[in-house]
Amino acid sequence: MVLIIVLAIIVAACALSYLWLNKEVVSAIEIRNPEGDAGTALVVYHPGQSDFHDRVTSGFAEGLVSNGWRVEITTASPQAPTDLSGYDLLVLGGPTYWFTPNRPIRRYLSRLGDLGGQRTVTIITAMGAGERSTSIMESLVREANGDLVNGLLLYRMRPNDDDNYVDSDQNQVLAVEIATQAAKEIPLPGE
Amino acid sequence: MDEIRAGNRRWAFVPSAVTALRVAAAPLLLYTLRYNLGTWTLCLFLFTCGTDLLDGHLARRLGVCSTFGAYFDATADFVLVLTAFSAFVMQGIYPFWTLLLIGSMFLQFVLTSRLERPLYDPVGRYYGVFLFVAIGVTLLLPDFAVCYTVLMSILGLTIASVISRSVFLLSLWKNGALISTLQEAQWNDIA
Repeated sequence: MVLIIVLAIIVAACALSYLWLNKEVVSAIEIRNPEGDAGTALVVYHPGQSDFHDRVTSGFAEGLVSNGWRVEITTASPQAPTDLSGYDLLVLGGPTYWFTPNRPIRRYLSRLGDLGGQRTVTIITAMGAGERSTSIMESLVREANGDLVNGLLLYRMRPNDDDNYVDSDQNQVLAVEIATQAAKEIPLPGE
Repeated sequence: MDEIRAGNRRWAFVPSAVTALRVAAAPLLLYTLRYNLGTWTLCLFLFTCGTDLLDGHLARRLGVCSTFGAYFDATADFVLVLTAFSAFVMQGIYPFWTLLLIGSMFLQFVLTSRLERPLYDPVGRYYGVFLFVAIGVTLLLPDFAVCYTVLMSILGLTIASVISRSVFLLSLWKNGALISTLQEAQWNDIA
């Protein structure tokens, strides 16, 4: 009887986690550096339940802005843009759930259909095991005929720098710095 | 329960010494969790699990079971669980109220453990074991969704435990036995 109660609670918790964590978030498009003329990037991501992926995405966007990009940021939902004709770069990302990319970003990618060779960057965050998730995301982009420029994998719990162990807060700050630096290394359109 | 035979008095300290190792390991576990020292964390955690299995076994084998030993064992478990979850809260894996849940369950255990007539709580007796499993799962399966499931499971088990105790207390009250049950609590023989 006790085992049944415990199993029922765990199954209910699993179902709740799947539904709640993968709930799509609708948000308006935020534009950073509207006068930027180096190129236009569309950043679409699933924020998750903590602010970690938000901060990583924001750091990446700031890296692009520092190189003169105009950056449009929104969350993965049916309202996110699906016409990529005005964009030079597509950035897709979100947290890892059950060791796979979150459902909202996967659903958004399937809504895009054929990427037509669009330059794409993936940003996957995870607590401590994200290799499978990032591999799946990169495969999905390639299968959609996207030109994968970079695939970032950043951790919240596992060290982001294996040679330099820092505490958790600094590890998350390091993740944001890595994202910013990676954005600065994205080739400008035409390069 | 205080039945330490005269001949075994010289071994009476051994189980408690093993239990004390678990308390001593708690701050080390906090450090390794804070600095994401994965392998060290896992080793320390397995060590503490080992002490938890060993202290009771030793007490029974040496014939030195005592009320103090039982309470010390439960307190050491609580210290370790609270330390691990405090580290998880500091890392942002679990919310702060997780600590309040765990603390309230331990307080409930202390207050009701001295009753002559035990409270009927089929779920609560396995609560401590579940929390240890939860720590292990968090360390071995570092995934946002897994941790969310663990969190919801802890919440569900806490609610189930409180409900079963409340129903039992209500039935005692209806039968007019609640006051006498509470008055029978033994508080003087924790040596």
